Amino acid sequence: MPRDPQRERELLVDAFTKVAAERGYAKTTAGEVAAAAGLPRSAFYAEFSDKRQCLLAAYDRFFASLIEEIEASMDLTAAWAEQVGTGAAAALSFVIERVDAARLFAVEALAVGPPAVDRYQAAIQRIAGLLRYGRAYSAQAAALPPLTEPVLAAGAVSLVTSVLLAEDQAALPRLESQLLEVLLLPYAGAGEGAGSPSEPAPL
Amino acid sequence: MRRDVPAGEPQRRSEAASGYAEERERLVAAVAKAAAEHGYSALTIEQVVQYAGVPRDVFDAHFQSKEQALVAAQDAFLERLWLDALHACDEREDWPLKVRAGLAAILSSLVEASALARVFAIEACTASLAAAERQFATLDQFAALLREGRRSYPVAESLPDATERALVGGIASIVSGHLLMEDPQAIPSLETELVELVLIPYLGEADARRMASS
Repeated sequence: MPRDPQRERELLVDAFTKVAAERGYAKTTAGEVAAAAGLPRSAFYAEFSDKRQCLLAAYDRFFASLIEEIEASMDLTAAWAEQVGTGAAAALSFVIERVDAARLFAVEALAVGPPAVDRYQAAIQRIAGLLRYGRAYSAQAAALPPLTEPVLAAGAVSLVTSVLLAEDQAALPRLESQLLEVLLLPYAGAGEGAGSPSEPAPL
Repeated sequence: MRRDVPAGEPQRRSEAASGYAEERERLVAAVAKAAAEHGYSALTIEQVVQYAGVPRDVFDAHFQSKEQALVAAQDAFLERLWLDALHACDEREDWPLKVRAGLAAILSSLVEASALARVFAIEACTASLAAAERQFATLDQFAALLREGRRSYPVAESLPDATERALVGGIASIVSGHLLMEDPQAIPSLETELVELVLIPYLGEADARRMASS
């Protein structure tokens, strides 16, 4: 049977994600990844020069799938709060379904240095881009600073990462309502939920 | 951080203690210098003792491993950032001005020590789980500080519980991005926008902008 490089690459990326999520990136070897993919070790090196390159490919795959899930869950004709709600729920269930892989990419992957960090920043920008649609649904939102969405996106990722780091998986589903509230905050009416010091505290 | 002080004659104890603390401080500073120059993972104990100007056994008396010394240096870096922010806040009366002064102090400390910041705020977290946990603990600490604003703005009590942690984490990540791209000079230009973003949940958008740019 002739080789199908595209198919082999996908198998290797999936196998890498599985093995590295289970064992940790440092302990993962090309031989194991190839074996888990049901391919000879030479197939690994036909596709990747080293395991770092494979990690980056797996990283791209993970975030592309995450963004796809979020986008697919958002009904552009629905109210903004509903879109953010389904988007946050989709993102969290994606993470919960593959929590070890999520930890691998959110925490460990940065160890490979600048290329992983560039990808992390690009992922933040993609999520920020989705959040920016919120401006179309709120008259006041036009005045928000441009950094609003990158900070919100990075803040949401930071909340999820801190739960992943603490290996507190039970806390992940509880994050959903928190994420939704935080992500909607700047798009609510200006000053809504806020006040000035001269206003009396509600009893 | 408190450490056990070596025992000595009672009248000599304070002298010995201050000598020990001084030695440790010198070693921690040397770890920071070596890490900024060689990188978190690549630095060696030999570089550290050379920079500190002490024999190797002095290092061994203070630290069991290179990792332990790196954690001590990271702690010192994060503590310094925390104290810079607190001092800046203390100089202001009004809460929004405290926020502005505190954030400005953090950003200028990071720019001033950008090589160290890159090492201890970013590289460390990718090299060691313990370091990442310390970094996240510091984010929690800053979030708790910011949360005090709810006392000045009682209506902000209804804000989502995670508001402060999300803001602090989000800002840390954006600033880290600039440190990593070795573009620390761009950081001060973010200040006004970041202050505005932090204040929006408490003051509303219009007042937050006025306060950030006044």
